[in-house]
Amino acid sequence: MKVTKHPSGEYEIIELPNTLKEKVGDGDGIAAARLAAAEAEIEALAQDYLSWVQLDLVRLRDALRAAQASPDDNAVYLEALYTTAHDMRGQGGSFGYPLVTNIAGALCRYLGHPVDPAKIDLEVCAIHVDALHAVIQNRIDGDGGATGAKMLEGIERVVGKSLAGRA
Amino acid sequence: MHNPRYYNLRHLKILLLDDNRFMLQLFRRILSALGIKDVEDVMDAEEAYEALKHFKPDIVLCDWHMASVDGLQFVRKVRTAPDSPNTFLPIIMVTSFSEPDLIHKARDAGVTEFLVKPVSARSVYLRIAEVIERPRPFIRSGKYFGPDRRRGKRREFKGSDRRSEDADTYIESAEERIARLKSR
Repeated sequence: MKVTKHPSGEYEIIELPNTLKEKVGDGDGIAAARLAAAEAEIEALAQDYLSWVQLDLVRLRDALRAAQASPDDNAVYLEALYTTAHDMRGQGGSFGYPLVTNIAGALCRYLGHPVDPAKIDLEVCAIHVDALHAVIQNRIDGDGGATGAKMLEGIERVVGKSLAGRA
Repeated sequence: MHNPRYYNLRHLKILLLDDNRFMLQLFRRILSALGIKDVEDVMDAEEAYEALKHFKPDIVLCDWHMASVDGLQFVRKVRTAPDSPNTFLPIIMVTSFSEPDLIHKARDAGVTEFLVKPVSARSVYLRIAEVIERPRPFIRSGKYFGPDRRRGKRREFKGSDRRSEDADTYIESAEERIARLKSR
């Protein structure tokens, strides 16, 4: 370990031996074959993803319904909505459903983190949730072409209106 | 898109921390296909901290947004707790967050690298390769301890610089970095 003190005395830089490099060596060839094998593993999980995401859709619906049922005290349900949307945002694109990532991401941005219930229009959330259902139930993979573009435009429009109403 | 150099990763030990079972399964399969067999996974930051003591990972892949203790709190604890088993541990933060202020916050906590979700096999491999090929030196100042947040923009020692100042003033272009990682 090499420690160098900055002349100002404000901080020190600590350089460590690269023990990871020692473990893996210099590397040889290219990673293409390994990467292809790993991508194949992801593809093999795609069917499992479609089962897993059904549970997320149920969680979304449940959280939204609970939030709608108690509009004056729904922070905890909106947080649950955010958490599930956040998970979906992080997974869709890995399995060929970037539209799920985009729509769930839009819902996360709309909700904000932490969620401020006073700023949330549940109708806007419902539009996102319906869209996510439609993408999965209709297996709209990739960018969804014209349908996908229309969905995203529609969501952008209602979010824009809602945000303008906040101002 | 260039083909990255292949490292033999079979001797690496990776700890996965994610409270989403499906993500753990996904990472396990990717890592296994990349040749990494010594993988432990946990769903809770406290368990992860304990695992550092007995499993002694080389790298941690840590989810950020978790229901109980979040990934940032875990990173802070690893970097600063008096009983931390390895304050220098490379920690790759796995996240869907891309908002610049949140990325700055993570850099302040002492994150080594970011892995942006949704992940691909390539993005996982490239982040691990980055940790191997370009390890960040550590900075210790009154206000910060963790990986150098300005890698690539080191300056000659010419009087005072801002590496020890409040994080927001000297975290180098985290947004640019995220954009670059996304485009690879």
